[in-house]
Amino acid sequence: MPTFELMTKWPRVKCERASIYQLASPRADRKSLVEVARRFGLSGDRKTGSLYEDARLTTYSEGSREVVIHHASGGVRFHDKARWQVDDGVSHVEFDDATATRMARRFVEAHEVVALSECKVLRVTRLNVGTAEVRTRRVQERVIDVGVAFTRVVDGIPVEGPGGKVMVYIDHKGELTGIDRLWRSAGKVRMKSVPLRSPEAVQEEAVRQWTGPGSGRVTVEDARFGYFEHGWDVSQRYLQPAYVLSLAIMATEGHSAGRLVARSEFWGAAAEKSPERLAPRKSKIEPQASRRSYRSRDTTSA
Amino acid sequence: MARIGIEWVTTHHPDDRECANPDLQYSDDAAEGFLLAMRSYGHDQIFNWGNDNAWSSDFDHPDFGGDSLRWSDNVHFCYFAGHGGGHFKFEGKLAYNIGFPTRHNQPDFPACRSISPQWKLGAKQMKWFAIDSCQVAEDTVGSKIIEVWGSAMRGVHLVLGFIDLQRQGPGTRNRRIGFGLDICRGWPIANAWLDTGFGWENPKEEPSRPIAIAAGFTRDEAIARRENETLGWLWYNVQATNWLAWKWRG
Repeated sequence: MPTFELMTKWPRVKCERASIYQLASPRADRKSLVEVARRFGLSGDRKTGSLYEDARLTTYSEGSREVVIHHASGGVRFHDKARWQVDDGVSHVEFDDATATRMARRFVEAHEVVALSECKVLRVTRLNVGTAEVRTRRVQERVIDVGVAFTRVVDGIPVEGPGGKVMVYIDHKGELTGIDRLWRSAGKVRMKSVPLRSPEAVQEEAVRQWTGPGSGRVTVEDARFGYFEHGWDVSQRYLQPAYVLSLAIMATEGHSAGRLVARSEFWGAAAEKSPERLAPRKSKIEPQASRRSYRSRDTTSA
Repeated sequence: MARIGIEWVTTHHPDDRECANPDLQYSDDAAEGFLLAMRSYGHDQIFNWGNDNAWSSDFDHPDFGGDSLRWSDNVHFCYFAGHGGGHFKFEGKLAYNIGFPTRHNQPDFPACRSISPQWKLGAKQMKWFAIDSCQVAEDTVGSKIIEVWGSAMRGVHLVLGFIDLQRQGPGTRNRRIGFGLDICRGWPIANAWLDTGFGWENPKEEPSRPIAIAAGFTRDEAIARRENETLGWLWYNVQATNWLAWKWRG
């Protein structure tokens, strides 16, 4: 059975209560897509551009520039597909994090992405490319873009999870190649000042989830308190407080014994009475009949 | 349409000390999420083997007693989710391995593991190999990437994985579904992997850093595959892996 240990301090929660917000229905129709496209300098004219729609997304594109709305979340992505994450073979980004952050703030303001007062810088990332000839092993490496990530802050509390984020992508010339905005519109306060669970209660849930017949040691390396927003393709009705535990999994048996072999996370609702399930229900593992034969059911060759 | 095969391991056997590994909670979610997305666009599921049905021999080339040509290399897109690791040398060379719960390899090879020196990825049909595991690249040192993958890639177009420790959690299933759907709607495969795999929510931790490694007969071909290759490139073979081109976000 895996053992469980705590290697971090529990997050300091200023008050033992927090509000829960109702989220507005995502605006993911064609009209709002065109509005967004215009903010990024596209004409938004159906005669000039092309529109594509499926169950998950609506996409409007003009040439290499594309704006996408995710229906479930209302998240918006703008990319110049000819330049976003694309290596031209020579470029190298040389500016530092502070310069990149200043540029990113300007782009966020210029394109009315979010109010800067409602977010803080989370991380500066870089897209690295490398090539090498296998025979000589001579390596050439460059950095081709810098991405500045912002996280949302609500009532002075940061938003955890994959959502509540803006990422600004900038190339070596300091030009914008893309912006992602996963930022659900908060509506009215649904429940004001609800009592919160203790972080220890959430840890107990995590222990229950990870307890089983296997081996290893699960360590809570970090625990954070914040509001929680899901990813691009998840419908969410409430912005609620949550604890997010960062877990490190160490092998205690076998050839990897003594080494960290994986990381994971646990998401737990912080409100005593949570209005909406936070972590998606784990998909059930379908039982498989035991394999007995080496033969494939299909041995067709390409 | 591409032929898809997935293998995943969530549960290991602690009583077999040589093969023991901590259980993983989300490997099935990751691999089956990807498969679900690919099937939704009409791609063919050839196999889906999980836990004790996932065998190391499915990845080892027959030259090393394996059966890869009937399994991992008998599909265009092979996806593995489970434990993986670098950090070791095999016959003097840096190697990578993926872990399995049961013994399905020759007794003189490491038990319950398939190791990269026994791979000839793409020798038959494999074009893309996603390894949803730790340490496909132990770190970002280019010479190590070449040492491990220069000899293992024998026709495969792209290998997708993670640098050092990767993170799987409650949101992983949606990320891998997103990856599958994005490549099915024509996104370049490497970009889609980096885009959906990069996990950066915790500022105090190293992010989960995806890496895509492309092969090419020439430098330009390797770069073109890294930047532009989509599922539509299925039939454009890599004649020889003379060059590698990789990209990662961190």
